[in-house]
Amino acid sequence: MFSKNDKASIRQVEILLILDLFSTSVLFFPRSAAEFANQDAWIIVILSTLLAFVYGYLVTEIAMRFPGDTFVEFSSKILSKPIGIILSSLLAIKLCFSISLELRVFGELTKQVLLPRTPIEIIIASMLLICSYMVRKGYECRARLGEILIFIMFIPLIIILIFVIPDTDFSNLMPVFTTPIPKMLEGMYFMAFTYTPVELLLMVAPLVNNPKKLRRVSFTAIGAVGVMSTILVIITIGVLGSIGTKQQIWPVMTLMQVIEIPGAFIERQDALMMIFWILSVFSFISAGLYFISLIITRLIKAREQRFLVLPLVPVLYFISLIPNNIVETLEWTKLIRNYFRILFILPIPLILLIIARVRKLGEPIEKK
Amino acid sequence: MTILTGCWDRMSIDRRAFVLAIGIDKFIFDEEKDDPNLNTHWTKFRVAFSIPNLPKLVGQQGVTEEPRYAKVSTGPTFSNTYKGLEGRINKTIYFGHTKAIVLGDELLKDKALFKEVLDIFLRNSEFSRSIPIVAIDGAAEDVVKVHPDMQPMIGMHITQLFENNQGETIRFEEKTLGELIKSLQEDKMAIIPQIHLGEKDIKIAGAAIIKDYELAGWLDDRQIKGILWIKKKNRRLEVSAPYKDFHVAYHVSSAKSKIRFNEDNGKLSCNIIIEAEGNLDEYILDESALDNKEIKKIEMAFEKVIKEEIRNSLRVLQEEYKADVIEIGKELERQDYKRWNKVKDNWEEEFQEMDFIIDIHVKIRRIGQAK
Amino acid sequence: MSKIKKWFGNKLYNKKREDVFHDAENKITIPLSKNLNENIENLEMLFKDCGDFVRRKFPIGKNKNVNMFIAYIDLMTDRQIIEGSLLEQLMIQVRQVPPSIDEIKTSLFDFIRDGGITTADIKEEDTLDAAALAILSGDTALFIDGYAKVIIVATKGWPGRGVQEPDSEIVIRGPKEGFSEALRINTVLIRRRIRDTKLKVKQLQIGIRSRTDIALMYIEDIVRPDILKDLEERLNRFEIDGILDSGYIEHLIEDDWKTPFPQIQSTQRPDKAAAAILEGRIVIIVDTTPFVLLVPSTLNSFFQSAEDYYQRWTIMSFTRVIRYIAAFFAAAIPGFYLALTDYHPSMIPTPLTMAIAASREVVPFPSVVEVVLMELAFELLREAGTRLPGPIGSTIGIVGGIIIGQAAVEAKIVSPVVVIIVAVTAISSFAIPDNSLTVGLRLVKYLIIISSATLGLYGFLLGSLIVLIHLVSLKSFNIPYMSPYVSSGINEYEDLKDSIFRLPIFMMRRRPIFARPNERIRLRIDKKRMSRRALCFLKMIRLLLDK
Repeated sequence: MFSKNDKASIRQVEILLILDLFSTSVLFFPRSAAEFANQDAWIIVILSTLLAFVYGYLVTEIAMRFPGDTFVEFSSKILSKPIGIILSSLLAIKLCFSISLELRVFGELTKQVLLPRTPIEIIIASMLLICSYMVRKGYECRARLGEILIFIMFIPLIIILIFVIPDTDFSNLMPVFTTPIPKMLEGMYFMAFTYTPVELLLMVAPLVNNPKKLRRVSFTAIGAVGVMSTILVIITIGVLGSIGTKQQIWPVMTLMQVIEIPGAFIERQDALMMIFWILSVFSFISAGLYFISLIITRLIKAREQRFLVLPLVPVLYFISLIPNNIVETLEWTKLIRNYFRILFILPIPLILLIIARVRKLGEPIEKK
Repeated sequence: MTILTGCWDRMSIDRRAFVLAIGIDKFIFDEEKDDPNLNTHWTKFRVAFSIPNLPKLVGQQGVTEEPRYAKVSTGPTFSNTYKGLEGRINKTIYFGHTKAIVLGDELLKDKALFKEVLDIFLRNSEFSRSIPIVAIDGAAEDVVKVHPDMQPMIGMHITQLFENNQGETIRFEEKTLGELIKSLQEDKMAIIPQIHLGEKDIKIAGAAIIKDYELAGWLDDRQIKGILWIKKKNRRLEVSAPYKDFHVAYHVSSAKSKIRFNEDNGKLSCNIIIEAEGNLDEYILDESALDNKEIKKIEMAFEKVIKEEIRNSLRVLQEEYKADVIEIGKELERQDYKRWNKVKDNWEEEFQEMDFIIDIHVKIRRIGQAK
Repeated sequence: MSKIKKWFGNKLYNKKREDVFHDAENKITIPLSKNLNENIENLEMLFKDCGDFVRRKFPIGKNKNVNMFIAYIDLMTDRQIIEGSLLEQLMIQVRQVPPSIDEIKTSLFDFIRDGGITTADIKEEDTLDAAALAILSGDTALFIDGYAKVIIVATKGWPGRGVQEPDSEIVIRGPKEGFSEALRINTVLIRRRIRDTKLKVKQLQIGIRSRTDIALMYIEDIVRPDILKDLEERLNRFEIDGILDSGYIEHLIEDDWKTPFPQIQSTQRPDKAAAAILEGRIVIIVDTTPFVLLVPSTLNSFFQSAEDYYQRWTIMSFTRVIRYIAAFFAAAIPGFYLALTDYHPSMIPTPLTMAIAASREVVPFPSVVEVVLMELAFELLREAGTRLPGPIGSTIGIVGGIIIGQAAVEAKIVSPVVVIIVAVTAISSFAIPDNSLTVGLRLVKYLIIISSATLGLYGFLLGSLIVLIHLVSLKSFNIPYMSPYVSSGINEYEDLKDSIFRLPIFMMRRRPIFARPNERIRLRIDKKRMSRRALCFLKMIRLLLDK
């Protein structure tokens, strides 16, 4: 905000969270949801959003109890220092892997659509360098950039989506409710993982002007992303059909290709969609980079966060190059997703919360 | 340093050969024209690429006189053919602006080859999914080589024909690459519009029926019309009916239809109710159409013709091809999931046996300027 | 290490300027003496070799027994005042005072000061430095024998331009007065527009040798005290030889000197300066230059022209949007063109692609070289156009552009598309009201060209991101540069009403974020007199914006 401290306002944190969530969800949701439930995919999206609200609630509850501390500090307070250090390091490592894999996926996609002959190393390296430039400027700058980016990204997206609606065949969504319930629940559980960036809220409390309002942040962000994803999934299935959606690796790209915008002068809109995707990946990776360096800074009690950013870049770069091709990358992602991701949004916040309540640590939140 | 060397993807726009149309055929060894070396099992495809001569096209003085070149290449896979072509022309092949794909009949009859071709279109990101696809009862190469007089670029011509189709009157059902793949994956059958060659121009009318990735047959103009009536998309069709020794013409501006399924004694029947609205285009000179009774009679004449067309098409589909290209199955799935589950494994037979009851209501909304 | 530097530096630093007569800050240290002749000697020595130094020693009194001495610089003064109100009074009128001079000898100085001179502005000083400064400013210094004091008579009257139409910020509707080089004229022009006692004119002197007068104008109860304090601190933290234009000051006090983007706005128009003061900003007027500085400034300020508020809001909102688009074009279009044609030709509609490819077939250079070449050529033209006098300059600009472009196309050095692109870029850069921002965009354009040429659309985006990140991190006196687009929670979205769109004037009821938080309401409309429709509209906008 406009003050000498570099703290972000609540609205800015909301926007950042929306950006982070959307970047992971928009490309995965249609296909994965369709894989679980065919044309009922949109129901799964709604269900997983509801589940995500629960996760968000847990995370923000614990974060709000300790308004001046990040996860590093309060986990040490609640569970004793060594465990706190272990947990924080685990979070950092997990973030490292998520980011690197995301980078790799992004690199593959960019290479395929935009720059077929450029070595993927260059694509990844350049993105990392720009992200580190951003991160060095501080959280508040990230927040400001987020406010601008969200307009640049969403206004064209909404306009394009409006144009797709006439081409959508809503009957592709019929018949409804044909998927058996267990599969739906399974889908809901797995899809909720796309909301894992909520865990970043664990780290965010000291950077915000008004930490007591964090709960609102998680609700608005998750809700907004949930609504948009639902609409997107409905439209994707409407246009491509459930089988078509399942067959493509990136159905949203295909969607962009198929639609025709009357009178627009750009023909291949999928490249335009790439703009959206690049910006959201940028936001996500700089978020990750920022928080990893923040965790490490707090762990080793360094003075300045900025110096740790550059050394992280080669680390992430090399991790992202480990898988051999996109198939392996997606396998890895699935692995991490299934086992790791739930960790920080469900069990750990829950445990911390319970222990904190029992031991009466932290500041209780006044219920309005 | 990286900046100077780092332009791997940069290619000056004039170094690209924009392939505007592709014609894919199965390679059939032609004794007179082909090199005997080619007669091995190694060559499977014969592909023709239409590349424009840019300066001439734009109106400047080009290096040669031809508005476009048609290059033919052969090889075991599609990739091989076009990469082989790069050894012969001085530019790099680029499919980003491909405007039409023509498939030859021999190719369509060969299931494996057809599947290969489709796969490359899916995988290569240069191809846009909205490229029109047409089939020809003959060699696709000839289409690519023809010089239509109104628009020398065959690719653009086909695209523009497709665009025309979206306009006032619909004559055939368009298929784009994306739609074709979607239909084939979901229903295992599709129809591809058929292109006919003339001396100096081309015509798109009729269609090829593809069943299970194989060419099953050809439908002509009128049969396609029947199909278009049933399908719920754009139905701005034109109808000509005999009436009192003359022929009158009618043009649909919009149509609504309902499809209902009934079961009688284990036999499925389908009731299709179509309501069409439109304009009377041609009537009889010196006779007045400004009479309600007259209008009703004309409407009935149209209804009769339309019903006949639809019946005809249904008969062809049910008996000759046993192919549900009108997506009745899908409709059943949407409406009555349980029933669909029962019959879906046997759908071909069910479709063949199915009774169709057709109700058409034609309404003439406008009769033009004269009486 | 720093201690050594300091000691060393001090020695050298002070050594240069310090001599017997001047101290470290170039101020004269010779004291005034009661003896007139000594004072005259000192003055003569100080102004040795100054041919324009005029002095006159004259006696007054019936018996001509009191000596006086005046000194001034030729043509910096209004000689009529000297001759009429000064010399005539002293020489003639005072002589006719009946009591003899000797009687009032004890208070002669006061007598002369209070009753002898008939100019309105008189000051009494007691240092030679003040006397010298006054002389150098165009006033006349009057010395009286027997007193170690000097009377400064205001006689400023140097040749100047007066108030003319500003040549850089032209409006169709609105006042046509522009600032001039004289400080006092400029402050007067602003005073005329804000007749409030709370409008303060704080004067400082900056520049060791130039001793330039600087005036800070602001409204006391609207301005933010922290910004004012910050500004004063910044003005004090440097020592410079001379200030020749406000540009020097601008670059010495701004937040970030490395960026190509300006953080302080400058203007030649008094109405714009007055509007800025009313918004809570501070105007820095610098003597000898007609360009005043407006502090603080956000990116949005550079897109506002004075005329925006004098014309109707619909057309002006449209114009604002065009300006933003123009700014985007000026920076991004060449890069975007390069990204599309070289890397992703599938995105351009087919007929256009064919046309571009056809026209490029005969051009020998790669696209990048073409674009950069034409851009540089245009920069040359632009420079040449500014340097050439009057009509020749603009003609060369147009003719040169057209003919050279045409000839280049014919000679097949460039393709026509590139000429169009470069022309559009150039024209867009002229559409931005404030020239200083244009320079920033011109430089940024090259960055985006390079990034697009390397990695296509991806590179274009990365380049734009770099620029955006940079912009977003800039601050102007602690206000984020990109307000009101970021941190829009401040000031309840009020600032947005005057950014991309300019909402009707009756909706801009609060001052923007430059002003003190409590003193924000600047427009009150009597609700009873407004029609119901207008009220509903107002409420709706309010609801939309005040989330």
